[in-house]
Amino acid sequence: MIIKKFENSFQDFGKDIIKKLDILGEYCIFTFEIFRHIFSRKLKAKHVFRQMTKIGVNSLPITAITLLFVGMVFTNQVTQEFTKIGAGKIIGGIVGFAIWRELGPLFAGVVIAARVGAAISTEIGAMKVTEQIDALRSMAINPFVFLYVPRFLSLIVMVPLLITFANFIGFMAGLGIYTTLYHGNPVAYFASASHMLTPIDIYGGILFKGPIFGFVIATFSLFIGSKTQKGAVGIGRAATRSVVSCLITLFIINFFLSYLIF
Amino acid sequence: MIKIKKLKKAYGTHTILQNLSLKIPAGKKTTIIGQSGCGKSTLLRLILGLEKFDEGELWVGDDRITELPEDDLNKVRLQFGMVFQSAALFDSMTVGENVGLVLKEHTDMTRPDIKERVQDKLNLVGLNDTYDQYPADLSGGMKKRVAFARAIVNDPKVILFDEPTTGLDPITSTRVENLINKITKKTKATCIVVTHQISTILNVSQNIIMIHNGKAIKTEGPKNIMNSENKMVYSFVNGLIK
Repeated sequence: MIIKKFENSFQDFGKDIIKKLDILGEYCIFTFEIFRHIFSRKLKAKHVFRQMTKIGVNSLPITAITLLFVGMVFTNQVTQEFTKIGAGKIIGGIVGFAIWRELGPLFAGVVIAARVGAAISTEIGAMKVTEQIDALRSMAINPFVFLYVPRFLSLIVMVPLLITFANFIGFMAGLGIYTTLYHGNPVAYFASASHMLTPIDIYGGILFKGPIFGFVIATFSLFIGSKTQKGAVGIGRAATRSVVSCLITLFIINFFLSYLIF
Repeated sequence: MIKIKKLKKAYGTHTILQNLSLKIPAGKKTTIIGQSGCGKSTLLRLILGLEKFDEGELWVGDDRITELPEDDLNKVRLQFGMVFQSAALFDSMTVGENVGLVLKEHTDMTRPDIKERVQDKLNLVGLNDTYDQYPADLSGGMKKRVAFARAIVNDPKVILFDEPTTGLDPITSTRVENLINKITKKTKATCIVVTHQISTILNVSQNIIMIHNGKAIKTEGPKNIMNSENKMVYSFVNGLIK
């Protein structure tokens, strides 16, 4: 009896592994297909620009608000503790490190994954379950060219730009707290930042983390959306799955990227 | 003509179509009937190449669908117009954009020419003033008619209708059936209608095929089908429970 139970659970475990490998394989093929269609002659620049506006410009307010408060709360804590040990003059550099290297890229990534990733999964998922993607194919319109590649490219381009914007807002929010609540000298804030930060601190998060975060958010949300089944419940599940997988992957990748870049 | 030979389609261990062979004559309205889940809609998707089948042959004219790569399959797809069960209109586009999409993507027609053609087709389906409206603003019957206009906008040789009257009230159903007759008369296209609505079967069909247990059963025409000599067909059209 016990052996039988053990056998069954072992079989279930094996089936689960095979299923997950199957999904991984499908994801790799899907990603390959996206790359294969990037240079399609049928790809229209206006579709990409439309998505850039939708994804990038419309994400500016929420990214700004998030980084504004992240910058403020971080600077508040750091300034309190650092002034106690007489290190108030290096606040600009510390905030700069934290924001440009980690907090800006990561929080911008989280915001975009939650706002844009969920929206893409939901939109594509709804199109899938209401046969709109089949309708496209029936009209000899390739969904990769028409739907997936424009969203993919716009995320690859817009995430680094949003991170740049987020970093600026976060850093300036820090300046605001430093000068108003703690009466710090703005010149000292900028001087310590320019003294401590190297170019790679400024560009590393934008140029390396940005496109990779964009790639993760785009491919995960598009793939999960394109596999949606079972009506409204399926669409809801796709959105949740997309956000959860994007967030977990962003946190993991962020650690390794930070380790390698800085 | 569409020719299907010994077709098999299964989803996992569940076989939907088995050893299915049939011919759909060109220029006629063929109705495919059968119980829910018997594989009628799957058959349409297989004809369009939206899904792959497991065994058999499928010919559209001289093109053997089985062997065609995606690019060639797209050329075949342009000969088709499909009206999906849910209408499948693109929510983010206006009615005009929905109907004109295939022309915009596959022809060199100018915008004014596309607009004129789209308006013509919308007039044909009785939706003269809906060009700038969004699908969300339309009723179910209107959405179906927009889907009709979209399916015929590039003058296809074959039009596929997947459950065109399901979920519509009797009056709207009759309007839709009349529209199918009007469109096919005007375009002279081959027409395949998948349905289990008796009124649609009787009002639209010239040729009726029933799918049962994955196989095709040739039936009498619409005049005699209600008294069919085949027990399966008779039970189905008269709604008899075995």
